[in-house]
Amino acid sequence: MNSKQKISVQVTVSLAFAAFLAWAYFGFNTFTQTKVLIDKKDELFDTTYKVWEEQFVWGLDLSLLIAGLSLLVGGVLYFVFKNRNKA
Amino acid sequence: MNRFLIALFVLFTAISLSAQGFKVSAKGDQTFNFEDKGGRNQATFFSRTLLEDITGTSNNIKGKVLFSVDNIESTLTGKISITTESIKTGISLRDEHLQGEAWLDAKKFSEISFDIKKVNKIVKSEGNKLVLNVTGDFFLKGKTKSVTSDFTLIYLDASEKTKTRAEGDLLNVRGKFNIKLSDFGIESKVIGAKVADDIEIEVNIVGSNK
Repeated sequence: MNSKQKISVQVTVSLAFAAFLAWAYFGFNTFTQTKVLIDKKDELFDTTYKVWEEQFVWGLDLSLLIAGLSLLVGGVLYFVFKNRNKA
Repeated sequence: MNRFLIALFVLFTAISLSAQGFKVSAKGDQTFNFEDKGGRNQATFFSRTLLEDITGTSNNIKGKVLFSVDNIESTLTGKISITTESIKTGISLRDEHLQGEAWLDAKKFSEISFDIKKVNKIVKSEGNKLVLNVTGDFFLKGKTKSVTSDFTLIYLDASEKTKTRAEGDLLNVRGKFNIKLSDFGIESKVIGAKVADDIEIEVNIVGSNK
């Protein structure tokens, strides 16, 4: 493995790791959401009701997509750098 | 003496039971309309599985509840409905699937409703608050199933405070009940894994009598 191949592997693994780290940070949600439910207080009847608010929530689907893409690009680069070395 | 005490107890119990109802200024027949232009009224559903929890809401609520303040137990009638396409789950693609033919089929069945049939008993009575055990017909995707659950009703006489919400007296209705999707002909491979068959439905609505 040459230095360029090493870098491509490191970048690939780091990106995939970061994607799963972001998933964990946002609370291990299965799907990415752009809206979340917030509880609001109804003072008149002393109850709560829910309101949709714009908020990005990172999901497992996004992590898998990023990890998959980085593996694909990293894999291609690995072989490209390998072949260039031979040439 | 004992007989007299028993008779007195029976009479006292009968009087207290018959007096159960809202203790408010309003009298007689009341009709509450639950159409809320502010979008505050809400029906929520919860699906809980190991893989995923889904919450859906609808703020497009319509319907009326009628009763006599003095005798709610035998006079309560009404129907509350939501438009199927108004249900939102926070993911637009999921909403599209939910409205589709395989799930709620919003094009064919545009409404989901609860039709009050009977008050089984007054569970609790506290001034302007009543907890009623109600049986009603739940209509979903062309099928009707009987549902029984406790509903909390809070009656507020018209005041400066209630005016901020709507004109007239206000009635808040809250309740929870469960349905099974399979009872309504909704069947899918993902039921049990990503979507629960047992769905909890929660209603929290405020109506006005003007």
